[in-house]
Formats: sequence, C-alpha cells, structure tokens
Amino acid sequence: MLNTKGFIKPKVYNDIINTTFNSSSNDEFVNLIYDKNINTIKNNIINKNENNIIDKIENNIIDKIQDTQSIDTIFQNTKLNTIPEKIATVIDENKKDIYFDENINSYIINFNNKTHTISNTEIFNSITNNKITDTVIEDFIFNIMNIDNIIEYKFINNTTFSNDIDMLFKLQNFIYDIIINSTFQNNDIDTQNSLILFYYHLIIFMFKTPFNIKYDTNKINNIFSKLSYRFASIILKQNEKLQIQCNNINSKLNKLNNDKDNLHTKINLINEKFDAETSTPSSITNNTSNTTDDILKSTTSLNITNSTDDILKSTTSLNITNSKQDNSQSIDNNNNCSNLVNTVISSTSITTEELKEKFINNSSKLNTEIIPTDTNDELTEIYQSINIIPKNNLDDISNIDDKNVQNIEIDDDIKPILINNINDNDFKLLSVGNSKLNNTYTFDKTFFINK
Amino acid sequence: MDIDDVYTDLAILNKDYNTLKLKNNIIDNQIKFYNNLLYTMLHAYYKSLTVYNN
Repeated sequence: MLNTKGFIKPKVYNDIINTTFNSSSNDEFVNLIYDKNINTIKNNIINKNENNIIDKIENNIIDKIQDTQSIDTIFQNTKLNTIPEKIATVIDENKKDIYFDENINSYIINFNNKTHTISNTEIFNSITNNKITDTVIEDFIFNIMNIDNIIEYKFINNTTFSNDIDMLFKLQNFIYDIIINSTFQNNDIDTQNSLILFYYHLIIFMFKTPFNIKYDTNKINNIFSKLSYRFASIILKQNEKLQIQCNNINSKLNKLNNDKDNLHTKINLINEKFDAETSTPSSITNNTSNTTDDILKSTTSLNITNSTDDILKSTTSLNITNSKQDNSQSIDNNNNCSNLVNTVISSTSITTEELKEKFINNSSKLNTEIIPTDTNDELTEIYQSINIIPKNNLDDISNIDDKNVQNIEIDDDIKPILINNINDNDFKLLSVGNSKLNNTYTFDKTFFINK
Repeated sequence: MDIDDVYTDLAILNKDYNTLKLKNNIIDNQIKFYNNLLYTMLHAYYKSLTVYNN
C-alpha cells in the first residue's frame, strides 16, 4: 500500500483545528509552523475544494516507486547479458524470428507464420548417426553429404538459423561442451570424430558467412578468435591423446621385436641341434658328405697313416708270434726286416694313390661309405686288408701282450722310412702273410705311441 | 621347447605385430588429418579477419 514515510499526515483533522497555542514548550515555534502549514492546507482544501489532493500525491509517489523497480529490473537484465554468449538487446523473444528456449533445449524458429522447433538432441543424433533425423534440421541448419564414405556437413546459406550468429554460437557451445567434457571410449571414437568434423564445418561456415551486415565487427572478431582458440585446443588435445596411444603401441612393438629375435634364436638353435642329430656319427661318413676334395684329403691321409702304422703293427704282431720260435735270428734279419718294412710302406703309399682313384669312384657312386668292390685283384685285397685294420693304433698297442713284448729286442737305430723306395712286390709278400717272414722285428714301442 | 611351438608363437607374435603396426598407421593418419583440419581452420580464420577488418 501507500508508503507515507516522510509525509506528515495528521491523524484527525479536528485535533489540528482545535489545537491551541497555550503551550509554552520549546516546540512552540515548530507548532506555529506546523499550524501554519496545516492551516494552509486546510484553507486550500476548503477554498479550492481539492479533497483528493492527498490521493494524487500518493499516486505520484507510487508511480515513482514503480519506475524505480522497473529500472532495477532492466539493470539486472543487462547485468545477466554481460556474459558473452548472451550479448543481446532486451527484446521480447516472442517477436523474433528465432530464439533459443533453455527449458526445452531447442531452437524456436518463426518462419512463414509457422513455428518450427529444432532440439539440440536431434542435432546431436543427426551428427552421430550421419543421417538427418529431423527434416527441419535439413531446412534450416545443415544436411549431410556422403560421398564415397566421406561425410561432409553442409550448412545451408541464408536461412533464419544460419544468418543468426548468436544461434550458430549457441550450437557451437553445445557441440564444444560435448567434445570437451565427454570421455570417449574406444567404441565412441567414430562419434568423437564426427563431432569434431561437424565442429570444424560449423566454424568454417561461420568464418565464411558475411555477418558484418547485421553485427558489430568487434563482436564478430571476439567470437571468431574464441572459435579458433577452441578448435585449436580441441585438435591439440586430441593429437596429444593420439600421440600417447602411438607411444604405447611403439613400446609394445619394440617388445614384440625383442620377442621375435628371441624366437628366431631359438629356431636357429633347434635347427642346428636337428642337423647335428640327423648327420651320421662316423667321421668317415661325415667326410664323405662333404666335398670330394675334403673327402680325399681326410680319407687318404687317414689311409696313409693307418696303412703305414697298421702294417707295421701287423708285421710286428707277426714278428711277435715268430719271436717265440726263433729269437736267435732276430739280429741277423734285422736289416732285412727294416727293408721289408720300408718296402711295405712304400708299396702302401703307391697303392694308396691307386686306392685314391678307387675311392673317388666309389664315393662318387655312393657318396656315403666306402664299400669294397668284388674284384679279386690284388689291389682290392690290399684295400680290404687296410680297411680291416683297426683305426685306433693305441688300442692295438694296448692289446699287445706284455710277456711277448719283453722278449722283443728294441733297436733304436731304426731309420726314417723312404716311402718311394717301397715296391709293390714287397707289399704283396706282406699282405698275403708270407711265411718267409719268420724273423723277429725289433722296434721302439714309443714310436707308435708318439704317432 | 618343440620347434612347432616356437613357430606357433612366432606366428601369433607376427600377427600381433602387424595388428599394432596397422593401428599405429591409423593413428598417424588421424594425427595428420587433425593437423590438416587445424591448418585449414587457421587459414580460414586469417582470411575472415582480413575480410572483416578491411
């Protein structure tokens, strides 16, 4: 109701009229003035018949108070609109072609005396599904082009929505909030990509649209700088996320590379082991599996050593058996015996060359083990006899009976054997076990061991 | 360890390796794509500024 504060209103007019000046108090002067005012008002009321003057004053005061309240309201409204997104003049939204209704989170478009509603949810669904879910979106905002599975969001020029930078900015805010605040999982990467792509097309469209006809340049500059900053921050954040993923994958790849190397090493080891197991155990066969040159080198050298040593051994064994029968002739036949040995060895050296050829033929045919031929010629017999001789000379020596050895006279004067001086005939005599060899052969035991 | 097991492990490992390599390539392409978007946007922004300020 009426606020009478500061306004003097006598409660009862009769009291004022009947007031006397008998008072001798300090307020006498004040009362005089008061009385004067009252009297003046009284006179005015009486003389001019203005009985409603007080009511008029009251109405004026009420109007002024109401005006102040409306100013406060306007001030409050302007205060709210200082937020960049809400820069707009206070105009009744119902009269505009387009406005955003916060309550239903939708854009209301008045076009051709019809009201169209486009919700943010519908726009979001259209973006994520890559398909327009509401035809109104296609009429006023954008449509989706799919060319060879490349999605493009094409904004429509010169519509009520696309010409309004505030509405475009609101849409941009909505998309930006989703991109920044949502945590996209692996399954939502496509959604995120679609949103970023839509945001990109929206910004480019805003940059291209000539808003300068309706809007202040500074405002546009502010909005554009904000847009470029936001998009750059989105992209950089996205790139950082992808870079972290890339680094994780690289570390995994390095680990896999190491594992791969380890597995290759294992495979090589297993292969080597496998090769070793499948190869033949004897050295001769190993040699024959190699090149023919190696075979020749190894086997002929083996044959030579075997033949000389073993023939010597065979002769000594013969001599040992014969020594029991006739020890007295040992000294006399010493030279003969040495000559015989020389002959035997020289003959073996000659025959080994022939055997070499034979071996090449056999090894080239069989490529595995040396198998003697069935021919009964002398060379074959010699060949067989050589092969029959055990390879390990030390074993043969160990098999010699010590008692027999004790009876053997050892001659330190054995001279080096000249292989060239040995004849085939001499060898024949030995190889067939000629009974003429009845003499004891004296030898150095250490000679064989050293060999 | 049997040689067959080693070869099986190697095959699995190769498959994982190729998958990761492919994923890495996809990520590389994505980064390149986003960088291109950023570059194009900045170019458009620069052009719009020159248009509005002149």
